[in-house]
Amino acid sequence: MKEEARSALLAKNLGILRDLDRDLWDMISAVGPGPDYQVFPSRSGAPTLKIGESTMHSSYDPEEESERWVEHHLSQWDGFSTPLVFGVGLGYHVSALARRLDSAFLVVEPDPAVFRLALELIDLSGLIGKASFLIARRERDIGRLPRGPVFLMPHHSTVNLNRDLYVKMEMRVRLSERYTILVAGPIYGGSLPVARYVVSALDRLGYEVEFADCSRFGEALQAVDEFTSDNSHRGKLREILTGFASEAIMARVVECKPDLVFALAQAPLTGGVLSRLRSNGIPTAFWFVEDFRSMGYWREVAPFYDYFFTIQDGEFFEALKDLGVKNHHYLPMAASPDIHRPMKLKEDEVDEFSSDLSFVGAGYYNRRRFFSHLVDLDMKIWGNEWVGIPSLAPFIQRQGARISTHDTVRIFNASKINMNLHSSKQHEGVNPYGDFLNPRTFEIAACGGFQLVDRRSHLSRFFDIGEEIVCFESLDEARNKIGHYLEHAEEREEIAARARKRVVKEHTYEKRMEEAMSFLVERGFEGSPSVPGRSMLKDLIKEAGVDTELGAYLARFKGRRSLTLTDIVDDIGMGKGGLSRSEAIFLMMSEFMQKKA
Amino acid sequence: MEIIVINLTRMGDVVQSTPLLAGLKGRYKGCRITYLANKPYAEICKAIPFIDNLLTFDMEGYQSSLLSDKTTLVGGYRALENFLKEIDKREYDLLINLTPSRTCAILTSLIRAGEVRGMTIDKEGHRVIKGQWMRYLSTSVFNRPLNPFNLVDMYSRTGGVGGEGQGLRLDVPPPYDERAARLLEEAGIEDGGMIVGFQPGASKDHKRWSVQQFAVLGKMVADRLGARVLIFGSEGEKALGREIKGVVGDGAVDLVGKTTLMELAALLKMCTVLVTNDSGTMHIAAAVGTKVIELSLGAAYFRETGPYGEGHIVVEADIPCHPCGFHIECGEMLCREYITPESVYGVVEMVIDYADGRSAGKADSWKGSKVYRSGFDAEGFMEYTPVATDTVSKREIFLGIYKMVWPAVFEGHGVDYLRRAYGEAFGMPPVELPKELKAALFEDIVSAKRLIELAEDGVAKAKEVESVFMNSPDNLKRLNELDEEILLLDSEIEKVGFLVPELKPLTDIFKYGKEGLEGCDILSLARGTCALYGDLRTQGAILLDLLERAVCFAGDCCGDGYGDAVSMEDKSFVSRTRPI
Repeated sequence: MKEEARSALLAKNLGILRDLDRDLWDMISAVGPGPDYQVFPSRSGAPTLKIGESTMHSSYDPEEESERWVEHHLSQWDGFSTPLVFGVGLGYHVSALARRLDSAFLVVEPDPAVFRLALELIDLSGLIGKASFLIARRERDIGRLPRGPVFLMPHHSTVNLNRDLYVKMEMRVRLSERYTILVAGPIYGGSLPVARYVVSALDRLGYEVEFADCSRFGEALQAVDEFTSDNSHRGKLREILTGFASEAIMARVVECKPDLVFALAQAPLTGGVLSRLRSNGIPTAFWFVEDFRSMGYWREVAPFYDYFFTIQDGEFFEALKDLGVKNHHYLPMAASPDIHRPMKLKEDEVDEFSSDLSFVGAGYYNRRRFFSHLVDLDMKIWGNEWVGIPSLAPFIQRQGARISTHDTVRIFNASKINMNLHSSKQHEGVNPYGDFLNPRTFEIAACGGFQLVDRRSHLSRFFDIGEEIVCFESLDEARNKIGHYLEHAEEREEIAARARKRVVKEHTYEKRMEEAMSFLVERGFEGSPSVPGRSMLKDLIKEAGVDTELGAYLARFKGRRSLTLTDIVDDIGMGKGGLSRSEAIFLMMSEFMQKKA
Repeated sequence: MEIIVINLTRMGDVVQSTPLLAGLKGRYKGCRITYLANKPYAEICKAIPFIDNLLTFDMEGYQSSLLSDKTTLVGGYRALENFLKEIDKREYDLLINLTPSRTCAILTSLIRAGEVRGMTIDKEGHRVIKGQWMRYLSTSVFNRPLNPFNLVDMYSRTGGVGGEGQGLRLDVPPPYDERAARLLEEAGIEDGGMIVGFQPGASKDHKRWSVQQFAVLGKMVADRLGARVLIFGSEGEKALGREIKGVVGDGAVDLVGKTTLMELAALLKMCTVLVTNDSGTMHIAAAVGTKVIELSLGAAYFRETGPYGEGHIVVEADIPCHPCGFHIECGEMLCREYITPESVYGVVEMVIDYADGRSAGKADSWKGSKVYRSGFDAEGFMEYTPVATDTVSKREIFLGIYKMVWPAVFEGHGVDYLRRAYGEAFGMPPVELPKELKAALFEDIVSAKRLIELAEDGVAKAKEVESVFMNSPDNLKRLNELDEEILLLDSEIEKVGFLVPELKPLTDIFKYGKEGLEGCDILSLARGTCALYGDLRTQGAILLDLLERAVCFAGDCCGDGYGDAVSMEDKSFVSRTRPI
């Protein structure tokens, strides 16, 4: 092709691109090929490209080479996954692929300059609606891949120049699998709401999530305390209940056949059940959202899990290493901005919940001591375990009842200053060695509430102290700051707004779960293998044949990783009209299955 | 004409469908019948002379394959698809599904056929039962004691045939007769000796008479009559055979688990009589012409599934809880104990005496049992008549009434049918009713009238819906009111059924009808609703008339208030032009 023709094509393509994807156009318009980019005619006459010493295409016949490339990759394609081409080169293989393929595909190119060169040779107008292009120089540019199975088609010369990025790309592809995750929650306690936030975060990330909600056994646990005050009896009964709940979780596992069991701290999973999960090839992860110093049970449980997440690192990591726990990872607490959010309160809610100063939480020793020194303020204390301190009695709300998340959010919204003092059983007030942040830190911020928090060594990892959050190291400092911020409403609001912005951007459960899943994949997680009753969708479609009636029917589940008969029957949904033949046959199969059960 | 009959349940049901097949062959000359059966019964199907094309499906095998590691979703799907392809090699004018399961309802919906009878599903996936008799069969399970119809008759009527007095039929191929003869010879049984067959097993435990009682009976039969006892059964029932053989000794031949179905049929042919629980073996015996003595136990109910044909005997415990519901797990099966080996022995003697031309007078020994003899009534329905009884119960009166109500309604020839029926015996013994019974029947008359009134009201309301919709469709207020009123009315109708169990068959079939109303526009729903209330009114009026006659028949004429609610054209048959 002549120089002028190439320029004309480039101009035309840039025109198309401007209408199609303004950001991409901006980027491409701004770059030019560097000095080591050489375009020269191959033996066949078609231009080819060399970057430094790397040849991007055949110097004999790049077009013929591209045909072979397409042939090779399509022979391995399942006909169903979304093809993803890594590396555009001069576009020969992209054009060839577009000619052969009816369905849409994605092209990722790390180098905008290369893409610009390609635009001199390929005609974008022929690719509209079929190929979409993404320039990704770094991993974070890759963003989220399309949901559902992706089929990677690497252009090898591009891979050679960008090996790290390609490896990460492979990981992303694995992450985009729609794994089925069973979240196992505790019977009661602080990690129960966290379990629920995890469930909805995973759901929003596109995973199939099942929740083994053990709070259903909460009444039984309460009953234990009512039946006996003898501690050894209580212990025995709780142990039986834990075993029972553990078996119940196992029953859920058998039914939903997950790729991963994700357990929260205090989840009633016994070593026996965890061993059975391991021998059945079902990976397990545990999020220990507790202080490892005060809750020592991690020693017993950590070895049973394949992946162990913590809210502390450093010293704790050393201890885990000593215990032989390999796959551990720091995963701090977060907020759930769909729950923890600013809201306009009704008049009666303002009456009940507002105060200058408030605290929501259990009455740990340090908190009892600390708040006893603030009794001259307009203060409200919410939560349980506060009884027995006469000086605090007038401040305890609702006779010391537990406060629901629903009301907690309203309190955070209504208080001028939300106090946040991390719990301690031995300190008189602030724990000078405190490290991790409690969920309250993120939740108050996500609500747009202003908080004063005790200084923690991790605090600066999450917030810009002074700008986004205000902390204190002593009672005196707290009193001073309370005085100051009660006087300066505007300052309070600005700081709170910045804190909220930061949390929504970085400290959500969605972000944490993204990180957790990335860690798993990095460490080789691939989900559970196909098990009886649950099959990988792509295998099923392959078996059925993409072009068959059944294959076409199954393709409607595209986006799922695996499929069971129950999934299909649930999807059919009665009474929507017009059962198809395929649907009727699946319904019939399900009838056969039920009879046996 | 191409006909397909689907029957994927048990062996007994297959044998019980033979009169339907015979009737279809007679009614549609030159028709071709494709029969779809569960694979284990393929052999017995070969003895049915009316089947032109036998298709089988291995129900249990398919179920286990679905649960095995080797079958994928696609594999399981393809297996069904291929099976459907096999069925679809022909295009059928008529499909009759005798299998009342959702599985087969879906299967039915997937087969190309002109007309469908029996259970299927609609486009939305909801169950639909086509054909009045099949719909009746589905509701009769809720009111079993009041159901007078044998399953065989319900099958046949579903196919629009029956009434010819046609018995069950299996043609055992001659080589099997020879094999059976050889088997008997090997067991040392000579030609001409008396042979009594025993079938001590059954599909469910509650349908079984106890094996000890069978053993005692076997000893009596062998010792007193000098008969040889052949014990039949399947592989899984071997223990039963061993136990009976152990007690009876040389007089018994234990054939349990040793025969194929066809050999069983051939051996049954050679028996003088078969003493049996409700089982597939019982139906085979009846189909090869051997007299049967059925012990009707637990949830087994002879009026539904008793031996079909002329001259079989049924023994039922004289106990108010028989038949029990299918879901009952009885902890104390008194019905087993009420039927004693002595009384059954008396029945065996009676059957043999009849066979010998002697008359029977053994009723004394039947204490604790009720004994019935089977035969066809004037309309060709199977009837089980008490062999000796001097009392009539309320339930029996209603059985007689329903035996006339349902055919009159379903076959759409109510007037003629009833005229004919009135000409015949009423179906109840002409005895003086006890005072309490009469009083109870008068109460039922009042309830029946109430039901008719409610139905009348329903007709009026449904008609109003139609007229409001036609004339002022914007009057949503009135339409909503009517909707509410109809809901209330239906709950009143349901209440009558619960308060007066004898009327529940009517209210149940009405309820089923309402659930099965098809269409989604107001007009067709209103018309369908109106028709259902009309049916209920007609059924109620016929029942009321018969009930009043029953009381009068017993010598105590009631007032003239019956039939008030019946429309003009119906009155012709309820007016008492014929003296009873």
